[in-house]
Parts: sequence; C-alpha cells; structure tokens
Amino acid sequence: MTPDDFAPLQEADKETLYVPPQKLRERGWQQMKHNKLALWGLGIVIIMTVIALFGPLLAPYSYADQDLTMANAWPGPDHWFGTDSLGRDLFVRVLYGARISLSIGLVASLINVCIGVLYGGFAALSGGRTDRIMMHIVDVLYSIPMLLYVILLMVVFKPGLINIYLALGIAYWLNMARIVRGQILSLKQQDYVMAARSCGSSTWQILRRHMIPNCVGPIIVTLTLSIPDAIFTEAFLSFIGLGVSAPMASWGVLASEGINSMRSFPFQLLFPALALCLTMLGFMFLGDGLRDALDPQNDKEGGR
Amino acid sequence: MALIDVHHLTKNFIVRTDWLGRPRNVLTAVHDVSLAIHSGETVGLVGESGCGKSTFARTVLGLYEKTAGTVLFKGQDVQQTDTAAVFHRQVQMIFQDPYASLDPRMTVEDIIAEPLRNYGICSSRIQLQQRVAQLLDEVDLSREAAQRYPHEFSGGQRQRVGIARALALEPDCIFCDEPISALDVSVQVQIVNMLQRLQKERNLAYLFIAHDLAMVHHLSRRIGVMYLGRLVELGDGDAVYHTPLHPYTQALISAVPVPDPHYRRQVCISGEVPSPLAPPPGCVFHPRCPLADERCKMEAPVLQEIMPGRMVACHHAGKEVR
Repeated sequence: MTPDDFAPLQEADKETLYVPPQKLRERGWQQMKHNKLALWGLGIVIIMTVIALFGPLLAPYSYADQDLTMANAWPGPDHWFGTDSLGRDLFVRVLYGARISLSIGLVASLINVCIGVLYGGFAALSGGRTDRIMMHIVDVLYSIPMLLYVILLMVVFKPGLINIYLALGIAYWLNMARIVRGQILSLKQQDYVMAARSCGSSTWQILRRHMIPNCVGPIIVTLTLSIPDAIFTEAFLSFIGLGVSAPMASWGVLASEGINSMRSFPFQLLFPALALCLTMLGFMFLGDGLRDALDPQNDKEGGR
Repeated sequence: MALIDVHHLTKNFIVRTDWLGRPRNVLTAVHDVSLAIHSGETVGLVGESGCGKSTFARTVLGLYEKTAGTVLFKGQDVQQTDTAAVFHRQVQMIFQDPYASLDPRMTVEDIIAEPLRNYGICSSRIQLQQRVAQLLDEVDLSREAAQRYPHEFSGGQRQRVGIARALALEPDCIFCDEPISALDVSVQVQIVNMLQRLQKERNLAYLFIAHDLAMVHHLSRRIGVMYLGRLVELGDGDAVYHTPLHPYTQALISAVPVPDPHYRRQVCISGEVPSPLAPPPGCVFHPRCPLADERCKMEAPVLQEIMPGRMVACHHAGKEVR
C-alpha cells in the first residue's frame, strides 16, 4: 500500500449506475410476468370475480326460478350446465354460487387478517411474558381441530351467510397471528431496525416506516392463500348442511345437492366442483406467485 | 475531557428464565469494560468473533440496555434525559452487514433522510433532497442513487449509503461496527480511505471495531483488545501492535498474515473460546494461555496501567512467549 492508494476518488471516478431505477412495484410485476402459473392464477381469480359480480345480472333466469317441467335437464343450449331436480338453471346457480363463495372467502379472510395482525403484532411487540402467554393460547387453540370448532360455532350461531363469515373469521386467524408475530420478531432483530433506533427513530416511527411495509408482503400472501381455505371450509359446511340455507346457493350447497343424483345426473356435481377446484387453484397459484414477487431480496438477475 | 467515557460497563443477556420469569442462565457479553474516546481520535477494538465487541458498542449507544456501569458524554451522564438526547444525536453507528442494515423497501433517499426527518432538520422536501444529495457527494455516490433501492447496489456502495446516513446528523463520533469485514479487500481500502478523509474534514472520533488487526493498526491511535467480554489490553496503537504485552494480543498479532511462506508463527494458541455462559475461573484466558500457571487458574487479573497509557490484564504481562 502506498499513500497514493489512499487518494480520494476523482469526480470522474464516481461510480455510476447504468440500469435505470425501478420502483419496487414495477419490479414485482416484472417478476409476476415471468411466472406463468401465477398469471393463470391471477386470470382465474379476475374472471371469477367478474363472474361473481356481474354474472347473475346478465343471466335470463334467477337463481331461485323453478321450472319443474325442465327438472334434471342435461346441459344444452337453453341450460348450459343443465338444471337441478327442481328445474333451476345450474349455470345461473353456479354463477350465483361464485358470488357467495368468493364473498365468504374474502370477508372471512379479512376478519382473519384484522384479528391475526393485531394479536400477533401485539404479542411480538410486547415480547417477554406477554408474548409467551399469548402464543401459548394460540398453541392451545391450534391443537383443537379447526373444523370441529367451526362446526360448534355454526351450531350455536344458526346457519346463515353472516354467521359463516363470523365463524370462519373467528376460527382461522391463528395462522395469521403466528406469521405476523414471526415476521415482526425477526424484523425486530434486523440491523436496519437497530440503525433506525440509533439514528433517533421512535418506536412508532419504526413501526410505520420499517415494520408495517416489511410485513405487508407475507400478510398479502397469507391472505391470498387463506381465501381458498375459507371457501373450501364453507363448501364443507354447506355440504354437511351447516352452510347457507336454500334457496341461496354456494358451491358447497350445489355440490351436496348434486351428490344425491350423482349416478343419474353427474353434471349436477361436476360443474360446481369444477368451479370450486378452479378457483382454489387460481388463488393458490396467485399466492405462490405473490410470495416470489413481493420479496425485494428476490432478484432473478443476481443481486444477493 | 474525553468525548465519551465508559466506566465499568457490563452487559448480561438472560438466555433462559424459569417458569416464573426469573433468570436461570445468564450470559455476560461485556464484563466491566472501561474505555475513553477523545474527540477526533480513532480507538480500535479487536478480538475474535463473539468476544463482545459489537455488544459493547451497542450497549454504549443504548441499543441494548446496560446491566451496570456508566457512560459519560462530554462529562455528563447519558442517563440524564437532556444529555441522552444530545448523545444519541452526536454518536452514530455504521453496521457490519451492508445488506442487513438498509431497509430493502426504502429508497436510498428515504434511508439517508431518516435521521434528518427524526430530528426535523430540513423543513421542506426540497431542502431534504438537497441535503441528501450533498451527503451522497460526500460518500462519492452519484446523486441519481437517491431514487434507487439498496438491492441495486454492491456491498461497498451500500456501506457508503450507511456512512451517509451516519453522517447526516453531523455527529462527533461514529461507532464503526466491523464496517469493512463484509467487503472485498479492494473495496475495504476505499471505505477506510473515505472514513479517514471524513475524519480529517470533520474532526470525527471513531470507535473502530474489527478483527483485522493490521487494518485497525493502520487506522487507530489507540487499540483495545477484547477477549470473552473483557478488555485485556489497551494502549497506543503502535505500542500494542509492535510490543504486545498480553499473551492473547501476542497470539493475535502473530496470526496476522505475512507474505512469506517460510514464516512460522511465534505464538499459537489452541482450543476454542470458552462459552461465555460458563467462563473459566481465574483468568478467562488461562485454558488457552501458554504462560498459565496455578495463580492464573485462581485469581482473575485486573486491568492495570503498567506503563504510562498502557493497560494490561495479565499476571505475566510482558513475558515473552516461547
């Protein structure tokens, strides 16, 4: 080493960056674009949402219109998915079922997020004994099969749309609480949180600037993945008769009606089941894709 | 008067508690360390991984709550709220891992502006941007870096962002927690060079933590050597480097790479660092020390001034190891 090696850099030597700057959101989208499955998932979710919102409005029949002369009709030009044993158009009922099932998935998951984020965040931030006790409660609740818990709640609540929202929302927040707690605990140990503290940020500022933005990714992913869970649980509840009541139709109700006549009219089970599967797959793919896209460390071109 | 005066600082971590929350296992990461940093000087702190160097720095800064001891800033105890406010503003920190110390979701501008916002230094957005641009100039980063995210930079560039953030509040002292050990050798020189330039321009004091003794010697006026949470030797940089008195320091210096294949290490120590959960009795270095005798196993040596400005904690200080 000579003293020359320690001479300051000249203006011209200042390092320049050649790649144009890019917003994190744009980069996330770039990542998503390369992920075929995630795009399919996104497509399915968007189509299902559009169908759920506008499908029933455009249909010539209502979900409750009965035409006993046309009972158990096979799929054809008049009734694309056929009709059920009361002559109700199955296509319209599946469309309408999308509305119910998706809304249950969304509302129940949002309730999960609210409870889970508050609970997990509070536990992680207070730390120590509070954290331990709160998480032990979660562990105990976790050991009860959730389905059993939901069924008990539904028996108490009486079947109905709003009660399903509530029962699922109350039961399934445990996962979210754990994920948020884990995330915040690991963020608390991050050097950049230390750095923020050493340059004078208050707890609230750290929460707002560092914790929340860095938690949003995992929360969105968990939310996306918990929607199909909720949809499926609702389908199961409807299947065993604890779900929405007739003449309302969720996919679970339709499937459970279809199963009675599975041998003679298999299409009555097939279409609702297909819609259910497709939606669940869509959300799963989307959730996985989001997980990859929302991680800023995850850089395909190298990086770390 | 010293800028920062640390007296008998001790930091215990409670590793396990029993079911009532009472401590069961206690890890002493920093044990009774006293150190003064004068304004404008660099104090080097060396020691192997896990010896408590970083914990010492973080505890002094108040990032960890200290177990015992006092920290004086310009003669005032930082426990007083008004001193604490000044202290936290005037003493900043640079972190070891330039990947972990920058929030991946913030732009460089937001990262550097964070301390400025905290203390309300810039009243308008334009002023803030100007100040950030100025700081980027200081650390030889181009101004267009402001709108970018940390992942777009190399390790050395990120470390400069960290330095810019530490400079934002015009501090008197910066604690450099192994700022170069995560970087390539060529980049290390750039960063060290920059730190020296900034020191000259701003009369900054540094607490420079590293395990690279040669680099610490190059930079520091005084060097402290830590082993298992204790300060075992402290003195003038040249003196510690050329005539080490503690056998551990001698071993460390003998371990500095020398570009000569026929060179044989004079002092080798074997074995692992004992667990800080169960430090050995007597002198904590005795299980690995070539000079250890019965006294070392019983009695812990005290850090004593054996020459002016030279402190050593060893019963056999100055004996040659053969």
